[in-house]
Amino acid sequence: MGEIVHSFDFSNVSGFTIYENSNVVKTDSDGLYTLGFRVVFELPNGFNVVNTPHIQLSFIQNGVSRSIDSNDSVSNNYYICEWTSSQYLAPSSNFESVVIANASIFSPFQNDYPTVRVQQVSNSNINTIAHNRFDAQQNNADLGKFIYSLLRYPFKVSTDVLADIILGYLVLSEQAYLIDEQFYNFELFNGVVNGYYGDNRDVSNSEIFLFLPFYDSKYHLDSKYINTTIKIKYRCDILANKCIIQIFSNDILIDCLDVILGYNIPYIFLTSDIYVEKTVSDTLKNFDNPKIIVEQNLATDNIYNIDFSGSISDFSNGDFVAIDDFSVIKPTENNEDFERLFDILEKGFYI
Amino acid sequence: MIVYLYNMIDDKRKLNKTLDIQTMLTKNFVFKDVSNVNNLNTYTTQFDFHIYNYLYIPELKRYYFIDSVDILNNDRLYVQMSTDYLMTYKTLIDNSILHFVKSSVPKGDKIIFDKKDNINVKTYNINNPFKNSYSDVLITIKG
Repeated sequence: MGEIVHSFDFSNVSGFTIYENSNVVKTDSDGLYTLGFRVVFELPNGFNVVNTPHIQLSFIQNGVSRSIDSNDSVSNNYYICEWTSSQYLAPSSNFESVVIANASIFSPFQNDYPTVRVQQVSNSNINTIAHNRFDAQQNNADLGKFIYSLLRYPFKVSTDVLADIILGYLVLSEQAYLIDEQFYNFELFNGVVNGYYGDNRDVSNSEIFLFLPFYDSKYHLDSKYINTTIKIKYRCDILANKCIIQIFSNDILIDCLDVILGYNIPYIFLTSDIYVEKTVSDTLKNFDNPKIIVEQNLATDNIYNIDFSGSISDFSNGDFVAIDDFSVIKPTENNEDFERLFDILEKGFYI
Repeated sequence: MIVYLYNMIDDKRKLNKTLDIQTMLTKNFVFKDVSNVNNLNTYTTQFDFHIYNYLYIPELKRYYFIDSVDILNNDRLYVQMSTDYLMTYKTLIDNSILHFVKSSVPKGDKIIFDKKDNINVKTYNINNPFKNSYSDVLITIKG
């Protein structure tokens, strides 16, 4: 069991409520409270604070920014913040931020993260969860608060053993496979990306584009990496639903990109229409044929094919030109000279 | 035979080479064999050939690149030269109406150009491991 001690900013805390004794007295902050209230936080991200941390609360009260600190004592404008980790309450939008410092927390995965369960679920599992949520709702209990996320990942996860599905205090009569790996690694490409010439000439006139699964747009790889071994790896964290694309050139990491592979399954959410839209758009980012494209202008100095009859004076000093019709240049006395001259004119020269 | 020696700094493929007459050196030189005017090779004791890289021979009306100079025993040099055909036939080229097939950014709007023909495209397929399977992952919070 890994205990991590660090400062933690809960500025995105998802909700908390103010209690007096066991009764909810306020779910917003617009009011003046006296001492003796408890502020109970709903913890995001599945973290669980196991000792009493230092708490600071910032909020707007009657249009004035105020701050509550758990170390502050008696004052009509401050509240004692009594920490409890076992209650999960409705969000309140009035509080701006909460800072919890020096708290000991447990990371949320498997044995290291005892407060959460990470399981691969089937449609049957989800059906059972939905029924239990419905039943609990009849008693004004919302089991949905204990569902941190339900995500579909586009790959097979590694599973361990069957275990009960647990929502808060309720152990469901339903089992699902525990997942035993947090990180999943994929190598999508490992090979030399060659230019046309295979040497330094390729650097100046080539463009390399990467079309990668789930990456929003084509990625422009600097042409200095042409003719090197390119490696593309995806490293996915299924807890955080974060994926890092690592791009290597000759085994040296040259860039990291963030993508999201998991998408919310709309089934259990009330606002399912939003998730459906997001799910579809995320799915579309998974290309059928991801690829690397090297586009190269073989004539190095922006040389164009042209069809023009005229004289050298129609061009500027330094222009690169090539000629294909030599009938107007009549060989005089030295045919070998003209053979060589025509060869040069045909390959191109600078004016 | 009079020769003008230059230090030429332009690309060998440049038609209008800049020849600096301030640093030009005029020499009277005897070529023992000029039967092959395209490529002149000669032995000489004149070390000036070691310093310059380009020359013009008015009598032959030809310009030459000094391609290599080997220093031999007895203070002799072996010099190899090849014709600069562009400069040698520059007047002829300048005065001809030619058909141009390639150019960098053209002058004016009378030249029709097409860049597409010059683009080479190479495609490398990337493996996509995210196509044929999926897993639904539920994360729940225990009480």
